[in-house]
Amino acid sequence: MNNGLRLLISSLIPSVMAAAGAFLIALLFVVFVRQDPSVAFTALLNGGFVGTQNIANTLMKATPLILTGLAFTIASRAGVFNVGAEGQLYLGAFFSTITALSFSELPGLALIPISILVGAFVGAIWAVFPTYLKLRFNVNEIISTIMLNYVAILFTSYLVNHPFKAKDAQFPATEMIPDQAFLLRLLPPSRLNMGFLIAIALVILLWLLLFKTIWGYDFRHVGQAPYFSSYIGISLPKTMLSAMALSGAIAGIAGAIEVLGVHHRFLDNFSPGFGFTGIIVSLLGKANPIGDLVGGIFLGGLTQGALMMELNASIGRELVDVIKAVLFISLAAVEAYKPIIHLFSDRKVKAQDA
Amino acid sequence: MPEIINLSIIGVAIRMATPLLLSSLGGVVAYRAGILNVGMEGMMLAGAFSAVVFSMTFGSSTIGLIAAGLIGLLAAMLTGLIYNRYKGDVFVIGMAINIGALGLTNFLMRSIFGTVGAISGSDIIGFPKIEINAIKEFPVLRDVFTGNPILVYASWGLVLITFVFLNHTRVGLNLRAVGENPEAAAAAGLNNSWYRYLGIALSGISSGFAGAYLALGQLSMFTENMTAGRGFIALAIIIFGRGTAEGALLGSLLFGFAEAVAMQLQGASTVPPQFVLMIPYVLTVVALTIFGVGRSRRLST
Repeated sequence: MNNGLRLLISSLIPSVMAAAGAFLIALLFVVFVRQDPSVAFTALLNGGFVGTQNIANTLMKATPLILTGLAFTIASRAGVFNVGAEGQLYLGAFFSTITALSFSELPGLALIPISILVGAFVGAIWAVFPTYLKLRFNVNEIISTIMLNYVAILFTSYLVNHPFKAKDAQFPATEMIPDQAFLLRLLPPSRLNMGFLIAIALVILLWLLLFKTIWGYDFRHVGQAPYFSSYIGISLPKTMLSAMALSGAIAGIAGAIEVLGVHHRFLDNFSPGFGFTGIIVSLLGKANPIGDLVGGIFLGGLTQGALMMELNASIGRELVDVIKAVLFISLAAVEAYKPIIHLFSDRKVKAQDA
Repeated sequence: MPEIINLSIIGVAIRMATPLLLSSLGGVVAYRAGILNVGMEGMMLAGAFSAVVFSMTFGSSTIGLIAAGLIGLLAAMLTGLIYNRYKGDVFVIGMAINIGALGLTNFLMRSIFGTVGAISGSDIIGFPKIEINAIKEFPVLRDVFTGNPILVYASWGLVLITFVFLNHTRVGLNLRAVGENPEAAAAAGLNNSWYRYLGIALSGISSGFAGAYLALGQLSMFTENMTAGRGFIALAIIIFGRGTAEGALLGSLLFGFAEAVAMQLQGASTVPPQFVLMIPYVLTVVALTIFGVGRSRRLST
C-alpha cells in the first residue's frame, strides 16, 4: 500500500466505524421495541439506496444536508461553530420565496439566480451578526446562533401566518411561486431537482477554495492556530467574518433550493432540522467538502429509507434520528479510533498525522 | 393595561425560573471545572421524558424524579467519558447528546406509547404542591409560597449549597483550580479528570431534575421537544452570571420574569404570539452582549 492510500483509509476509519456502531445500536433499539430487525433494516436500506425513484428521492433529501454540511464545514475550518444554519436556512428560504413572488414578470433564467442570491444574502447577514457579536462583545457563538435559530423560525412563522399567508391556503403557507422559478425536476415523479447539481457545484467550488487558494489557506490556518495566524499577518476578524458570511450564504441557498426545487412556496416549520443534521454530515465528512457530499447522500438515504421502513415495517422513522445521534456521539470520540488507525499506518504516516 | 401586569406574575415568574435555576446551578459547577456543558438541553429533555414514563409506570412522582436525575447522570457520564478519555470536543459531544435525546424521546414515544407529539393522561403523577392555608389572604406571600412543588424551594436551597461548595469547601476550591489552570492543578497533584467528571455529573443530574420539573411540576405531561431551548438559555445564564451560584439565581429570575410577562401578554393582547415567544431568545442574546464582555471563553480544545 502506498502512503496516500493508507492515509485515505485511516481517515475513513472513524466514519465507517461510527456508521457500523450506529447501525448496531439502532438494531438493539429495534429489538427493544419488539420488531424484527432484519425486516426493518432491509426496508431501510432498500428504501434508501435501491431503485431509481428511491435513489432520486435520496438525492433530493441529501441536497439540503450536503449544503448545511458545507456550511458547517467552511465555518469550522476557520474556527467558528455555526450552529445557526437552521435559522439562516429559514430566512434564506423565506426571502427567496418573496423575491420569486415579487418579480414574477421576470423570465426564469433571471428570476431563479436572483431568488437564490437573495436567499444567500439574507443567510449571510444572519450568520455575520452573531460573528460580529462574538468579535466585538465576546458573545459565545454557539449559544447566540442557537438563539437566533429560534428567532428566525418564529419570525418567518409570523410572516407566513399573517402578512404573507396565501388567501386560499388551509395551512400557513405563502402563495405558490411562478412556474418559471421552479427548478427543473430531474427524474419525475421524484422531486429531485437542479438544486442537487447546484449542491455538487458548490462542493467542487468550496473544495477548490479551501485547498487551492490563499483564502482557503487563511481559513484553515485561523482554524488551526488562531494566535499564530494573526502573528503572521492573517486578519482574524476578517477571516472569521468572511467564513461565516460564506457559511450563512450556503445555508441560505439550501433554503432557497428547498423552496424553488421542492415545495414551490414557503411552508411554516418546513425544515426537520436540516441545519443540525448538517453538523453530523460535516463530522462524517471530516470537514472536507467531498466528504460532505458523501455524508449528505448517506444521511439523505437513511432519511428516505426511514419513510419506506415506516410504511413497510411499521417502525417509526424516528429510528433514523437515533442512528444519527449514535453516529454523532461516536464521531465525537476522536481518540477511540487511534488503535485501529495505527493498524493501517506505518511510522512514517503516524509522524505526518501528528 | 392594568390587567396585563398584576401581582400573580411573581408566582408565575418563580415557576418559570425553576427549571432554569436547577440546570444552571449544576452547569455552574461544570463551568468552574472548565466545561461548558452544551448537552444540558438534551439531558433536560431526557429527564422530562423519563420522569413522565417512570411516574406513570410506578405511580410515583418521586420515582419519576429519581429516574430523571439518573438519566441525566448517565448522559453526563457518557459526556465525561468521551471528553476525558477519548478527547472529544465538548461542543460536539453536547450537540450529539441534544440531537440524541430529541431523536430517542420521539422514537420511544412513538414505539412504546404509539403517539406522536405528546404523552399525557391521568396516570402520570405530578409533584405534590405545597398549600399553606394561613397565608392564603396575603397576595405576594400566597403567590410565592403556595401552589408550588417542593422542588421550587429545594432549588433555592441549592443556590446556597452551590455557593458554599464552590467557595468554602476543599473539593469546590480544587475543582475551580482545575477549571482555571489545569496544568498547575495537575502539577499540584489534583486528578483533573475526576473533578471534570464531578462537574459534568452534577450538571447532568441537575438538568435531569430540571426536566422532571418541566414535566411533572405543573401540567404532568411530556411533549415533543418540550425543553424548547431552556438548556441553552441556562448556558447563557451560566456565562453572564460569571459562573457563580448567585449569578445563576439572578439570571434565572430575570428569565423567569420575562417568560411570565410573555405568558400574560399572550393571553391579554393583540401582539402576535410569535413575537411573544421570541422574548426569551432575544433576551438571551441581549444579556450575553451586555453582561458577557470578556468572560465567554471557549473551553474545549
